[in-house]
Amino acid sequence: MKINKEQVLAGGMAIAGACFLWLSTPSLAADEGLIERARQEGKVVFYTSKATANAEGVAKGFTDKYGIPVQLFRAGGTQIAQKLALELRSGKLEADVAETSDPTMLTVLYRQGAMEPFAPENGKSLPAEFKHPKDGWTGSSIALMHLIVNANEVSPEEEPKSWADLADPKWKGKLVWGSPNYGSSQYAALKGLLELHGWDLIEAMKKNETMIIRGWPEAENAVASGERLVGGDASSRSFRAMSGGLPLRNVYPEEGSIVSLSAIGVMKGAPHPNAAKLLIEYVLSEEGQQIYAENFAYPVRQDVPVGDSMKPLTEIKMHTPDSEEAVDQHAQIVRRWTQMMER
Amino acid sequence: MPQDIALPRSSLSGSTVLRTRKVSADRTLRWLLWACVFASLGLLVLYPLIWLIMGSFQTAMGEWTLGHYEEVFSSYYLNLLWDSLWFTFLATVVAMALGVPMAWAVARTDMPGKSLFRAASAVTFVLPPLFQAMAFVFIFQPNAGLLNLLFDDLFGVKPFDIFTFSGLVLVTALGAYPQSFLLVDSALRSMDPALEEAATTVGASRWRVLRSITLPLVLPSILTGMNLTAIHNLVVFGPPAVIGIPANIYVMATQIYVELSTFPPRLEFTAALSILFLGFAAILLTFQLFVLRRRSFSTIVGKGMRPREIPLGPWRWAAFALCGALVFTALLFPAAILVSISLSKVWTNWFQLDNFTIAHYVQVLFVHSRTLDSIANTLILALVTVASTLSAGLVIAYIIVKTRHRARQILNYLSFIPYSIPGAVFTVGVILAFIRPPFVLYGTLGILAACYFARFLPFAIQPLSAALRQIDNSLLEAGRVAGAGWWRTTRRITLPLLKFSVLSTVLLVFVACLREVVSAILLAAPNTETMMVSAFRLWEEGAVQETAALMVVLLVLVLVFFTVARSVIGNRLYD
Repeated sequence: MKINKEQVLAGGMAIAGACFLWLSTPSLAADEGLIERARQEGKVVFYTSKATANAEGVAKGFTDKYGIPVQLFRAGGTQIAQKLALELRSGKLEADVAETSDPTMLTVLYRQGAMEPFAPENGKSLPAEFKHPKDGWTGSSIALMHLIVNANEVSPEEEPKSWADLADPKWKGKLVWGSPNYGSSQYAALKGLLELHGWDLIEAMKKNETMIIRGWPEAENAVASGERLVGGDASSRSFRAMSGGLPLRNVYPEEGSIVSLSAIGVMKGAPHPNAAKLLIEYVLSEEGQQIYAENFAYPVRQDVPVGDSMKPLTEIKMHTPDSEEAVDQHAQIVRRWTQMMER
Repeated sequence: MPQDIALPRSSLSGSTVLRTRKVSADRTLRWLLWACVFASLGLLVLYPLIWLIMGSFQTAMGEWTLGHYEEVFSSYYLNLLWDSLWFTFLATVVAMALGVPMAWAVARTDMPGKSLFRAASAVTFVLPPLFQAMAFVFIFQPNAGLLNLLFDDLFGVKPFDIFTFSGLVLVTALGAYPQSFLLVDSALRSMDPALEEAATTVGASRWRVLRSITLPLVLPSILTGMNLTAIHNLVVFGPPAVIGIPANIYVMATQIYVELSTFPPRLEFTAALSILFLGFAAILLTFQLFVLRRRSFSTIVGKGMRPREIPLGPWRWAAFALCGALVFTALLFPAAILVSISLSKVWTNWFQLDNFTIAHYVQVLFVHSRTLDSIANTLILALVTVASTLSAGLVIAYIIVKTRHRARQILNYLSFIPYSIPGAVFTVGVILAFIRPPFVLYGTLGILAACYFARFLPFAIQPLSAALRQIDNSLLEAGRVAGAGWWRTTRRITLPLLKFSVLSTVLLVFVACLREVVSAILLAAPNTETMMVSAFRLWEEGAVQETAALMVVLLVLVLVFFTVARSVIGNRLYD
């Protein structure tokens, strides 16, 4: 491997940064052993549903800091869970760390005995609702599910004001929505909608010929191009899309934007368990959260500021779906949705 | 002198020993090769099928059940089966309607631009259908499609909607027409012109000749082309995934993909579903056997004689325009759209100069480890598959054609099983077989290589055994008589004679690996993605420009490959 000047510089800065952190936060001193063991494991395999820039940002930051390479797999949260389920069946687990944009998948996996309980040092200060009661996972960032409209075609006056407006026949043939069969935040959004309006709203969306896509970015493309005018989206995506120049505008529905908590956890039987734990510590550290915030995720830590272009959470009305219920009803809800909307 | 007598004797006995040793070494080698071939077919063809059947009767925990079949025979899945059949039929008919007349115009008339049409069709043949499907979404989506925007500006209407059944059929047919075109074109070119000339001499009109002589002669090729096209459409994944899924239209391949890519993955249920499809595919195959059995191919003889070109007069420009329109729609226009998107900063701003960037190519080729790895994986897999199918194909074709071994028919059937099974179905068997001990391959490139081997082996056996059949046994016997052993005969006589068909096998299998989507997408683990999988995932992620850039990279690879192949093989490439 070739090492260039920047890398040496970056490495040097990382080491300096690490020393600084080590001096300033004594709690990290206990991690020296973990770092050493993680380095011996040589690498860490990270399955995440974060946007590529986010995932690569954290991976690069981690590698620069600890010299441990990160092998990334990015896909929708449901697809990650599917991949993990097949790996678990084969008995040959590749993944060390799994992160999905809604905790349901990880709780389901925890119940199947696939998650290693782990309470990260850097997650100690997080409120209880950001953690699995048995430490099966820890919250890593927050996203809001809200609506997007095409900024060129839909004026603020005529835009939908609430989730209930999705039932309005004036949007017939103009809606796009994400399937819970592929992404985990799409499941959170569906669960939220059901809590607010029940299956009636979904039925009405079907009548309105809502286009069903696999991931929010596809919805953004559909709305930005004018293929559709109104769609669901996650804040982590919409802020990025707008900063990239796509003609979109966020709409925060009156009933409350639906909260989707990203969750991160260690796989039981992970090939690189210590590197996995170190990666999670890094994601929850000030530095890791900073990278997420810069890439349009709301940090879980209070001490990390929200990105400049993002609307602060305190200014948005929110609705948090019932997480226990979300897990218990997962199979049933997804099945009913599939039969209703995707057949 | 005793020594004089002893010398020849000892030399005689020495050579006999040498010979026996050589023969026994030959025999051991042959035995080893056969054992290898049988073992690999057993493991890579039979074993996945056994698990496909067993799995369909099991729960995920391994308990026996009939529950999956109860669900499979519900109205939704039976409708799906019907939709798949209807889709396959229509796409095949449209593809034939496009490909066969063009083949006639290219092979038998004085239409200009023939070599261009041939080359463009061959390139279209090599490209995965995903290529056209993605491009056509940008052109024909109902509200924002480029042509709809254009029509809206000119006439105030948006007439096209790609997210419909007919849109799906048309896009699939555009990707599938080269199959029938290339086959019929090559049959028409190699047809014995004497028959047609005879008919003309006795006063038959041109139309009569076409109807009574030409058409019956190429009918077997048309039917074979139709069958290949139907098999292609039955397993095609790209258009049904990119156009069908957003339109809620599912066919076999996409339904299997959906069942397996959600959580929890329903592996065993999918096996039962696959068995249903298998029965359906068996019907198609029986139909093919039934139709082709009664046809004779003997009237198509070797090359050398060029059939006379039919002068079309002024109509040749009309024919040129029609063929040109087809090639433009199927290849040039989609390629132009993808190139333009891949070079744009904001892809919805069409054709604005300040919107130009090469950043996405930099991302795809130099930054994202994912796409880089996927290119490497694709090439590694292609090389491994070419090597494995070629070597196994040579041995199997040799056994089938040149020996009277009792097991040779079994070998023949065994190696052609995956050919008659839809790719997605066979792949489900491969997952079920290699996700459990003793052969845990799931998550490695090995499982892809195993699946590719079984699926593409028939592509190797077909041309190789055809070529072997043409090598007269007397040549091999001559070798034996001259004292060469089996291995030496094979190496010095058989292999050199097979050079051309070996080359075409390499091409066929390589191309098949390059454009394969459905097996790759079902089998790929995070670090074993191929280019097509990576492009599809980027598409799912909404990374439109990166997807387009990766597709353009593939197009460049295909063009380079095509140019090299053409310069090596020349015009015989199209056969």
